[in-house]
Amino acid sequence: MCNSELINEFVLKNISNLIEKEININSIFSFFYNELPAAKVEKINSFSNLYKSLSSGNTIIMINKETTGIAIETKKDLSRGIEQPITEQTISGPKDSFNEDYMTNIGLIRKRIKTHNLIIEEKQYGKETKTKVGIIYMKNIIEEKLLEEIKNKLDTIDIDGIIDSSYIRNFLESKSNVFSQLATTERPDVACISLLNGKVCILVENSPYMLIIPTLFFDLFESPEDHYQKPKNVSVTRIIRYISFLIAIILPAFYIAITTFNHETIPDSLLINFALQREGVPFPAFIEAIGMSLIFEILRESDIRMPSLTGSAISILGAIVLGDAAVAAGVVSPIMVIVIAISAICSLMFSHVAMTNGIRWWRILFMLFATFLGIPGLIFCFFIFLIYLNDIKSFGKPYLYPLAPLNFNVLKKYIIKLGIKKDKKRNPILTNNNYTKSEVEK
Amino acid sequence: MKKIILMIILLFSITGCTYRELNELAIGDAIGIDYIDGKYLITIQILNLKKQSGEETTEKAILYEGEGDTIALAIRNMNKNYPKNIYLGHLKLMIFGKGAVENGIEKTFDYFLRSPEIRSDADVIINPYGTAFELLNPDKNKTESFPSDEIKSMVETTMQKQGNAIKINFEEFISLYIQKGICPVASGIALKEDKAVLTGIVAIDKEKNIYELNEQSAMAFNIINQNFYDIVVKTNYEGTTLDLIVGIPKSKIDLKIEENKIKVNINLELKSQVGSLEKDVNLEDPKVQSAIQEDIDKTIKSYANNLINFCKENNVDILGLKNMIYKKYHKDYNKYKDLNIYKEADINIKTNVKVYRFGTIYRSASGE
Repeated sequence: MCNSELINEFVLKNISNLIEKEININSIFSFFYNELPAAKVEKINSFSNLYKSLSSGNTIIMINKETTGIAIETKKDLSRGIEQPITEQTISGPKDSFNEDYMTNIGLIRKRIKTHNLIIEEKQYGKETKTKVGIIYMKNIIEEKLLEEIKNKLDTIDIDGIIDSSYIRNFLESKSNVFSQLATTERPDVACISLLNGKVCILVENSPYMLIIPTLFFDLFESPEDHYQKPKNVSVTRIIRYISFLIAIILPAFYIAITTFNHETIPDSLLINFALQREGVPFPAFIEAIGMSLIFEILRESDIRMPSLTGSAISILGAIVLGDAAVAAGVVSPIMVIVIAISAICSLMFSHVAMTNGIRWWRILFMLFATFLGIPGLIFCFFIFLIYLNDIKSFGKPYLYPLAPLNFNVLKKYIIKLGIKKDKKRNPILTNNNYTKSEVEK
Repeated sequence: MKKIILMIILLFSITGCTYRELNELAIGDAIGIDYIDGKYLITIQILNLKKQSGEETTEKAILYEGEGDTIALAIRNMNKNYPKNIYLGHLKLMIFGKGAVENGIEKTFDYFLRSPEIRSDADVIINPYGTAFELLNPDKNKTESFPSDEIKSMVETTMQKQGNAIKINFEEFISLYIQKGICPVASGIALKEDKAVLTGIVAIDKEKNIYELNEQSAMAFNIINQNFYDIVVKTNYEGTTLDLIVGIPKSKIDLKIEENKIKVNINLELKSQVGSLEKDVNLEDPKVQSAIQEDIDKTIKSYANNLINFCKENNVDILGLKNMIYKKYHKDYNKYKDLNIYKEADINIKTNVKVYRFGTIYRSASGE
């Protein structure tokens, strides 16, 4: 807890110098309080303050017959240094990331936005943990209504301890949405871009992940890399990302639909191919697909949990079991392995974990509908999907914006990335203050 | 979440009955329809998808046969002998035997049109001499052959390159049959020395008679209907044989009724190139070029006349002249309904063939 060097240098040395300096015994207290060369010296009046101060790593000096103690900050730096981001890696752009230290994280933001318009409101939540939570926003850009709603929601927090930002997240999300209504990031650059766009960031002590509020559905398709690559290339990547989202949720269902109901929709040579592959497979297509998806999820989970040294063994085992042995044993058809693998790879494309996990639910629901009703069922389920997303509000903002309500200009920006020179307007759903980016008014 | 769970439970109650796994299906590729001794004999060529362990997959055709008083019964009766569900969603070829046509081809249409599963763009072919069964029955020695695939591509290439066949699918065929004043046509096919051979274009009239067009009139028919890509026409030029490749057909039929007289103008426009020469002719000479042009004009005209004569003799309206009257002069249609229109009408044929390419050499390779 304590930094013994600091104690040696500033506290103990001064105490042993007391006699040399010939200080009156009555003025010891004022000497310690006023003259010690420490940044933070506090008076301690009660025992509860004493415990809190001690467990924060301070040195307490108690003087005989005095009712007040003195706390000197001798905290040891317990946080790790600023390292590379682990979950949001990019090829270009800054390579620093948040860590568990509250002040370091604020420093990383302040380093990038230097005006007084950046406001950090600090609050404490958690009855036992007394965790610091910072609400960060740009004073001149933020929409007041949004800020109020966030604060109101934060005030409802009533819990003994807040260990991580995901605790706060659970309090803020209003509906059980499998996709996320607020994004998390460990990159200060992403946080700053969000702040400048009129979003609110929430920083939680001891958590390297900052919450970004509000996050709309189409925001989940963005990756940090998008801000640093050439706009035209980013547009291609984005279109691929949208396509792969559709493939990830629909492909297995589509395969089930065409092989069990709507045989007439595919060319005959493909149908013959499918029929040949399925020959001798003992399970219905749905069971086959669910089984394969389950095996994939197990592999993914165990691969994440295993230390990276042994992790590669799992991938090899998985590749052999999934790719080769299962087919050779005649348990699954090779085409099903391809279908599930493609849809799984597509779902891993997103930098937000909530997206990858949310896709799973919908994939299974789509498969169910396709098993019962074929292609009409698939379309029906797609309508349910749209209605479901349309129903969600992310902190008062329509989740499916700019698709519903339709704003074509903004939608275009979500698909085709504009260059920084051309992209002058902020997203109108987020804020109306300082709508143009370059002309920021004070 | 409750709603979603409720929805999934409700799903179980609305399951469709058409759920069938692919490997439970017998995918029908071609269907043969015969009518023999008061009973329908249906032959369906099935793609046999057997995967032998350790070996490469082989595709070979097998035949399902069924007999019954109606087509539906005949198809259902197949399941007495064969295990799998018959699936006709990928039907490619329909062959009508002589018996089925003579019994009334229209009696077979209903089943195929009414069933939602059966694809209506299968090609139609007629065997004017025998049964469909004998055509589909694959050669016992050649087990890996697909008669239906062979027949289908045979019809298509013959139509494109030779002009003596017509590719027509079931939907078009029925539409021709149902329209007033036009006779449906299809390619004819027959078994010659254990091999299926195209016999040309076959026309059917409402009296269930089958007529065969000869080669030249079939070509003319395809020119008028603008069906082919390029065909070879043989002409004579100053006693030597000259092959011309004729393509890019454009045609127009004008029909007018003036003072109760029917006037028909048939305009044919074609482009052609020299295919081969037997004798050394100077093709650079403009006189020779125009002479060749005249020759080919005459030849094409004679083909068209051949077609008109065929229609006149047999009283089959395959060009649909009566249909034109029906569309243009609706009130007068009944007057001409039962007439042999090709005898009454004044038919004038104009041809214009442009020889625009002479190949890479000007003189004949024979070098005389």
